[in-house]
Amino acid sequence: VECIEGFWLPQGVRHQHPVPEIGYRTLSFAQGQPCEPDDEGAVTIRWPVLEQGAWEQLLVALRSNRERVPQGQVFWDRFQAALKPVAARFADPADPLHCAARATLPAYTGYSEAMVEVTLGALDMWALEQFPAAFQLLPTLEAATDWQVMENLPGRLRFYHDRPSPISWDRLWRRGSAPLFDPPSLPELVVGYGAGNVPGTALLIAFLALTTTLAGGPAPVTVVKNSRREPIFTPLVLTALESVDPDLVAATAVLIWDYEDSKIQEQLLGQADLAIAAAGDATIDQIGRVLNRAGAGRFHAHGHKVSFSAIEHRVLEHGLCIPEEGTPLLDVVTLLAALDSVFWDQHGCLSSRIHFVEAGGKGHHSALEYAARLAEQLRALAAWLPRGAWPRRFLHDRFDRYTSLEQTGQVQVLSGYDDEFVVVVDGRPLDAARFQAAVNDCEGRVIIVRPVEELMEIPDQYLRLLPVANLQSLSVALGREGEGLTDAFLNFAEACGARGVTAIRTVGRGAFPQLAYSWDGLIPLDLIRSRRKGRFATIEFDTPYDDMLATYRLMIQRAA
Amino acid sequence: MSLARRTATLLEAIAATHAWHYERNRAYRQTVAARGVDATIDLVDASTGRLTGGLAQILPRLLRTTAQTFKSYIELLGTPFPHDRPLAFMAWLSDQISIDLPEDRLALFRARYRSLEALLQDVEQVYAEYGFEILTSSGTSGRSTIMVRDQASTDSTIESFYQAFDRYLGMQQVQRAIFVMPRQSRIAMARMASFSVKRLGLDDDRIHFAIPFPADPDRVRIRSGRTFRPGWAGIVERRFWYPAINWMQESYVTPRAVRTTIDLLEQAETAGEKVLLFGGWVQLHAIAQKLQQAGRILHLAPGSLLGSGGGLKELYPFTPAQICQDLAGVIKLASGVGLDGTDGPVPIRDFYGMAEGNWAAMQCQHGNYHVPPWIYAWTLDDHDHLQEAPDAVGLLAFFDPYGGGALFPAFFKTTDQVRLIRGDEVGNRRLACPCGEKGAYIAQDSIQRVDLLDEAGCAAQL
Repeated sequence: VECIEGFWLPQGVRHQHPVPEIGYRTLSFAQGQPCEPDDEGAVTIRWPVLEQGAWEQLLVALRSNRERVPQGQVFWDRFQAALKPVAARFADPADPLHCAARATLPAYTGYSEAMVEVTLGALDMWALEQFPAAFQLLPTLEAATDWQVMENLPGRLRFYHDRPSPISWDRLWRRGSAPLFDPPSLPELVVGYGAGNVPGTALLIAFLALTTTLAGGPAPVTVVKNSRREPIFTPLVLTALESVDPDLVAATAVLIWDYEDSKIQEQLLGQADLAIAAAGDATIDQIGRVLNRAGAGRFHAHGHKVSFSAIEHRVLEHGLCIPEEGTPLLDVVTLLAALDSVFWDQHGCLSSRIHFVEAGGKGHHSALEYAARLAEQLRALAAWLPRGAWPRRFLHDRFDRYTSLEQTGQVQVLSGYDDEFVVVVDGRPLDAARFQAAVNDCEGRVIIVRPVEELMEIPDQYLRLLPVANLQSLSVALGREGEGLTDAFLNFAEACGARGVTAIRTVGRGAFPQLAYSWDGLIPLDLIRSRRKGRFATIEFDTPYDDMLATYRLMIQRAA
Repeated sequence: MSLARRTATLLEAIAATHAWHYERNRAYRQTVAARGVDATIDLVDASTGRLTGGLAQILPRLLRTTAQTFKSYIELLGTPFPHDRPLAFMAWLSDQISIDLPEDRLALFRARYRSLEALLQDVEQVYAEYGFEILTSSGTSGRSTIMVRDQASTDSTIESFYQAFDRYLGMQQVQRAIFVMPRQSRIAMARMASFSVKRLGLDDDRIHFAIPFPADPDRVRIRSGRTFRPGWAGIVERRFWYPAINWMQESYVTPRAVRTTIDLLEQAETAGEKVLLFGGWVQLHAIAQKLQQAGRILHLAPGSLLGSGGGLKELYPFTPAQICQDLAGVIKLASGVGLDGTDGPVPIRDFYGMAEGNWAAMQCQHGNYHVPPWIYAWTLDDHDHLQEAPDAVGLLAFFDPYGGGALFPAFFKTTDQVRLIRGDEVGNRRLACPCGEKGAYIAQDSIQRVDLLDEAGCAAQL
């Protein structure tokens, strides 16, 4: 059985390091499920098992490579230059890199080939050019009381204290213009933990660690634990990057080890200046405990999160179309909103679960009409971006449950039993337990459309029912052509941020968040500086309506 | 009857049962109609007697999920406490059964009841002529399945259980039956098992229930510690009744049940009576441990049996195999019966069933669970397709065309993953159970409760 590598080490390190003598472990998956290596469609990965001594040797080798890694803007320029041909290779169906990803990722992860292919062709959807600006931000304590403009970046930024005080002492003592962050302290060793629910989390963490050089110092040694559930994508991209510019990733390693191996965990975390973990809450607790015991490094934890969509009544007005193309705006909104839920089949924390639709009354499409059109879009997307190899029985169970609730007169199911998705309009009164149950229902392409009288109901009646720490993104469809961020919208965003939302972006961008903004309440500056306890919320746009149309055109162009 | 004939008969019965309930049972009709199933289905070609090609398409669509069907009142009423909304509960119940309940009697119900038990007693009383038996699941989540049987379906269930017990446990010989469970309980398996013993004709003084307190659904709920009433009542339940009931259970009820059971077993030992001891694994283990502590080994008359049912619902540090081993060490048959000529352990048989099923799959001496011949059993794959392979692991689905009687079609998809072997049905003798019993069986140690709520990655459940 041919094994592919579920780990990555720089070529030089690999040659110095006695990996081949150490021995490997293997794991096979087919259709997203563990299997035997000989099973039909099985993809087998391998990774080296390192003992404590070998880990130390590895860290020494990576540290000695640090000086090779370019620094600051030079790093960034070379990184972007290298990423372009890499992205082009992944987008080229004839390229061996693209073929390798397509031949292994769908079978191993269970995601459909088309989903993987679309993602491979969309690596440039992440706007990397914004990153230097993100490191030059200097948010002040005023951000704890009002939205702040972000210099050289669209959108706004707001900070929420973990324990908000009824009195703004900072304002009282006229400290509002004081910086929110302490002076920078660049990490020398970053230890990351990548989740496997969506491809490439380990890569994202490695990139974030490398970007800290934009603050001016050398790039850190970066060691990321790859997920056994998706160990393929990150090594492929790093290999491709290395082939273009090996210095960029000379101090980076991606390996697999056990969380339960307390010796290795303590060895790594004891030396880490920063740990970044995208993982389940239990794993995060485990890492946090080791970190508290073994080291003094900062910890960026990205645990269980959920995301939603908010559709303003103004974009549902009858007769609205995109001027030149004549496409009804309802189609634009529902397609983009559908994509936010379809990408990664709602296994990602960024995937929207419940779509809140504001009532506009006469002259506007109702929540039911929105849901009907959403169901049509999902049906079309099922052909373009088929659902992964996940059990259909979960969809069936939810379909049955919600159709049985139709007799209440407050629930309508818009999808069919044989559809690869479920769309429900649910207008029942919900308490916290039932709302959480509804949120939990929305996995694997299950969307609940929830009518609201006004957008403010979203934070005031619904988000307040969820733990602050579990909220993540809100995708919005709102505004008018050329309209900026209105006071009404900023008030709404403020209320959502106060309930725990950490990122607000326009519909259709859910699967492609911009890394220069807040990820679970942390912004890039958090990688290099300490600050008061709390979380950020960011708005990723200045003109929501125009941004939405731009995303639509981009998607249509991609699909074509 | 040949297997082919049996299959054809069952399929005809399934189609007829479906048609009958489709017309009368609103909840069933709503579920299957939403899946695109009409009132009339053709599973067997009338002219040839062969299965139609639509079988694989249609049959899975008739299955309702056990975990949802008779628990749906919780979502529809918006509360797990039906006694707060008796009329809404009756409306739900009417939808679940295929007979029309006289609406004028709804006026006889109170606006609220102090307990679920009080409401269920009233339902049975108000509609006394139907002979309703309202049963519940064991309620480990604190949210019970509530299902109703009428006199006819209760009789058929008792007969089903009796046949199974008799065939596998040889109950005709039993002279004394000891149930390590309360006499008064709505828990379906306990109630049906005890009813089926009555069917033997044993006098009441020969049927013993070792747990001295009734297990009404309200107490079972509180004891589970997972669902409490809202408001002050809930605070009292959580802070006072929950610890009090569990303390009582541990310090008084269980020790007394164990003592009573051992006393009764000792009486049977002395009298040389063939005894059936029946209880959950945890209770049986408590008895074994008590006997171990006392250094006592019981020698029961040949023909005596231990029976267990209901699986291990709670977290318990011992497996059924370990429990069997402990029991075998302390409860033996009288001398000379063991294979090696010494004392042999009392045979232990488990049975598998559920509140929604009107049948029990009994464990044979080879450890496999045999599905009664009037049940059409399959496993489903992850996509709810019937698995054609004669030896397949998947969610157990069953069609019991006769068991639901006039009340509901007993076509259910369970939440139990099993290895179901249907070697006989495809003429594969190598897959037959060594005990010689024909028909489908569930392989030993293959039953696993599957949580249908999947969890995946960082976007998992709140």
